[in-house]
Amino acid sequence: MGEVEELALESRGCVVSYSSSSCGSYDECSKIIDGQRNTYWCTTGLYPQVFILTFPNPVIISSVKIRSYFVRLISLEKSSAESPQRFEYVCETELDVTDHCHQVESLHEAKFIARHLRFTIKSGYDHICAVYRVEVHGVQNKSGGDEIRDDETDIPESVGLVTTPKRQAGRN
Amino acid sequence: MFSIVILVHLYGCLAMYNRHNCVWMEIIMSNILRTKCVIVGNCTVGKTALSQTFLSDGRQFSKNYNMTFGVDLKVKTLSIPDSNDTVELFIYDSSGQDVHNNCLSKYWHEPNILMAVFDVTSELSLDSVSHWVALVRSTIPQKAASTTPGVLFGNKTDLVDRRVVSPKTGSTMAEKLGLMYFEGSAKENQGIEEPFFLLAHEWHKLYSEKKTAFDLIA
Repeated sequence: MGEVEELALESRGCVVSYSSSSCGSYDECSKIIDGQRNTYWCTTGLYPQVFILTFPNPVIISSVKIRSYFVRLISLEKSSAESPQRFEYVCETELDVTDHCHQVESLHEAKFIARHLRFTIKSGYDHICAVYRVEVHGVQNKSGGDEIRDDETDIPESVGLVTTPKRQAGRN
Repeated sequence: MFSIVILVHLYGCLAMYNRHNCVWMEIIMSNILRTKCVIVGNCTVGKTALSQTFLSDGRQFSKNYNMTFGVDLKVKTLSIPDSNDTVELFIYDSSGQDVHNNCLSKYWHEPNILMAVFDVTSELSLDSVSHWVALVRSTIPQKAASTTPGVLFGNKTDLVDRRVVSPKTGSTMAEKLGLMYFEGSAKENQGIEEPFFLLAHEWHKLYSEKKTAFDLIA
């Protein structure tokens, strides 16, 4: 078992595999995991808004933190399937409103294994809200990979949200 | 014959290779901003007619009265001039019947923009506008309530003889409620697009302002 480290980073192979909105360039949502706290992904109106983080391998997560602005109710779901589907509920948190400063809040503190994390912003304190950073601390699950893959057989196709950002871009 | 063969992700934007002309073309993608617009007002002032005329670009006007039950949802996309953005208006056309009052706000929870409609041939419909606006504003989160763009629309201006509400009375009411005043006729397709375009514009402006605020606290 390795050391606990920051996993939600583009440089560690993490990607945002889905986001329900993007303003500017279509990979705007990768600003959530670029490791910087001064870049952000913002929604383009309406709730709920969703983004999915995908790790290159299943990971053992020990904590999930978020740095955002005007987010009110956010829920976290996990999946350890190959593709982002079959999500299971992890937690739901109501964040406090802040004035001219970021909301920095820990969403979850217990250990769990996941390959994908789905964040659903269910409501906000303003018409639009922003996510500056998501920090996921945990260890790369090199040994435990097999046992997780075991229950992956016979995943029905077309379950859950499997739209890719590319498909969304195709609408334009 | 056009044959576009390759679609790649190049320098953060989508590029397309056109084999016929042997050139790379950049696909400019527009940003889609989505906004929830609620239309409220007393029954039979012409809320549904207004949204229908707007949606069909004046081609459709129902001569019969079809009562709206609860809320009808319609979507129309408007592009914002001089920008790369489009606004998707989610139009929530609500029922004006009193019996639906309690559940209306559940249907359009937290709207972004609002349009209150009254009938220029009925003073009563103008008087109840303030009640409707208060109802909508009560569902908007506090932070957003003060910045919510809104329009007051006087419908049925084609009925010149029966008109009882003057434009001045209408605009005074709009000013009092912090709305912008428009009037027109859904039947004649007069002055229908302007309020919607204005609202889409206001939403675009508001969005840019909010985004600047996000930049500032980064």
